[in-house]
Amino acid sequence: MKKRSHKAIKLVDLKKHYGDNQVLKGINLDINYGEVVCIIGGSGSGKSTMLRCMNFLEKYDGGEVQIDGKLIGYGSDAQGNFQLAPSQIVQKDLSEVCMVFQQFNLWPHMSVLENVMSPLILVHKFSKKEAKERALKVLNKVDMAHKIDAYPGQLSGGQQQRVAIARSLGTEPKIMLFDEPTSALDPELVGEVLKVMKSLAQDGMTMVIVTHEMGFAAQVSDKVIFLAKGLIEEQGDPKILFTQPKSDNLKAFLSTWTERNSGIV
Amino acid sequence: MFDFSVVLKYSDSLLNGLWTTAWISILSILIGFVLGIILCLGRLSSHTFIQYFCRTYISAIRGAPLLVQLAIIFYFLPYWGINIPPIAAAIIALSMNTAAFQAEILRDGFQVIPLGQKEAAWNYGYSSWQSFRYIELPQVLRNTLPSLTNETIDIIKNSALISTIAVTDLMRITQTYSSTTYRPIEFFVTAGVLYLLLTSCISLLGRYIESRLTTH
Amino acid sequence: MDFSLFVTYWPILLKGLLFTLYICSLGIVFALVGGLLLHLMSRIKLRIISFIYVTYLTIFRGSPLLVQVYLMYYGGPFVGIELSAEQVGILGLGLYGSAYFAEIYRSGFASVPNGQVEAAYDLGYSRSKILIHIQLPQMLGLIIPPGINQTIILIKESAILSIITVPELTTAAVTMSTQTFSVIEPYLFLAVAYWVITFIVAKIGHWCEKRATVHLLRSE
Repeated sequence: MKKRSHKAIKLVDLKKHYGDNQVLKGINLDINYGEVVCIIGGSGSGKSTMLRCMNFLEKYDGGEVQIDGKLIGYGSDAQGNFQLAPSQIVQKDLSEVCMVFQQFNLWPHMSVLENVMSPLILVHKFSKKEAKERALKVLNKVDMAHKIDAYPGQLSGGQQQRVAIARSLGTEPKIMLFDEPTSALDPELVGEVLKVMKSLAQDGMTMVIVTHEMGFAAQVSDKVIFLAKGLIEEQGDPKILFTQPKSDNLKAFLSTWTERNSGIV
Repeated sequence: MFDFSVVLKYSDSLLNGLWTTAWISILSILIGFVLGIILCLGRLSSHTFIQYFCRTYISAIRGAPLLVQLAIIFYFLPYWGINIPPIAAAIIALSMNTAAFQAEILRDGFQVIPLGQKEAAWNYGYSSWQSFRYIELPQVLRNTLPSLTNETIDIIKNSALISTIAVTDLMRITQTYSSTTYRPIEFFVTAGVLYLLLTSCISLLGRYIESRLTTH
Repeated sequence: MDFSLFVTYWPILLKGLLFTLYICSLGIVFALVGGLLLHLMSRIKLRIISFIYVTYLTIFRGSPLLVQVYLMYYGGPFVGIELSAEQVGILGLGLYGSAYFAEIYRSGFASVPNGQVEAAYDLGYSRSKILIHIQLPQMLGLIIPPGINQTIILIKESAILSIITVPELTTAAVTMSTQTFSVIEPYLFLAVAYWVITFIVAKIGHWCEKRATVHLLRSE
């Protein structure tokens, strides 16, 4: 893979609050190209908010988000003050970043094929023929090529999520964000989605994944980040982090998880 | 006792009236739809003044009888020196009336679209116009089609009131002949059947489009 | 604008307003009861009954109220039914409204899962107890909003009774208009008056809906 001079994603003292509730209290994080990073943490730890800030689905209140060295969402004017950039510019800067949502967010009025083709035609100005070729290619990759004429409502959750991944892949993003991609799925459907994500990781895709699947995180990620109360409490190699947790919070979090999965609760 | 042959004698005029009723209603529905979308977007806008203006308009129109609105348009415009034919007044009043109702129908439609749909559109770089045009509007139209069909039927029925401002629609022609021939039952039953035909066509058409759209 | 006209005409307008309230109340009660009877009738599983039901709904919902009212008022005498304008008004609103209320009742009853009714049968509830204690409480929250909506529609539709000279609010305003040669004041007054009536009805409906759905909130 081509060496790049910039970090894929760089968060500098990222802050965000809803009213009095400080959700992110100053996050610093570097993610390199080709890295797979899993973010874990309890509910309310701010992990989804952090991910959504990376794609500017949430406006942040302080600090910076840089994608490939570019500040996202805010620009400096002549006086050096931060200002909200127009959405077209933000979207242009974000064209290499794509999010896969917990609720899939497929468009229900379009078939599987149309869902994947639509952004290619409307945003990336592909011809219909080119868009269809690309769509079939990525749908094949997620093993959904046999369902191109189905509508989202006719698919299982796992199938919908695979189509959603294909829709993102079609636009050839350099960075993919996953917001709890398997949390809305029935247990028996989780595997098929994780399998697709694993193959993406093997292809060298830069991935940031908010997840509750600890086994998957341990197996696939280069780095695991544990978030607690809006701060990064611990980060590092999954093998070390999962087996030798240092902080009490992480120990507690991991033990609850182990208990739940062994059915002791 | 009943003699419908007298109706047949005037069938040409009655069909003319039916045609007038049909095109005035449909045209008003279409104009009202465009106005309705604008009103609905204004109602959902974050701009306080625009929001209040649209809210007041919708509430004022929905709270008063169409008959009164027709009279206001018909009598007020000449009072201010604007002279327009009755047909134009009828179309203006019907369009302004249905716009308010359609705006509320569409607003419900926009509000049930999950936020995630729009977030996904943003995610893939859609402009807000593209998101509106390709993601939101098609779903809104599909979801509100039954209500919009009902509104069309209501406007066709309510259009009978434009006879009061001297538009020669089906109602007006029926009234004229029923009083000149002293055959009110025959003529009003015929008018009822013709209105029924028109509204049934719209209702069938609506259901047909709906079934086409919901094959998925 | 000359508001001094109202000094002279307020007794006429007030009388019209009261008459509108009177004729609407009777018409709506007629429609509420008629709609319920229609709905109960439609539950009899006989082909002829369901045919009558569908035909009634199609005719009364598919044609303008104005046509129905004209037919009764001008056509009635030809078949020996002579009704006053006022009677035609009440009957017209009632028959027309019944067709709409019947469907509102239907959707209300359909909203209560059949399993609940079966469970009540199983526990020995009588039909009327099931209706009062199981079905109605759950239906009310669902039928009040469309019911109020229909009530408001009927109140507005009652304006057309002025065309057959029922001495209601619109007739009063038209009288004022023709006697004073002014159009702005009486018609604006009409718009405001109907708006206020429908606003009050909507508020009352909202209050009832809240009261009726208290149990839904409690269970959350």
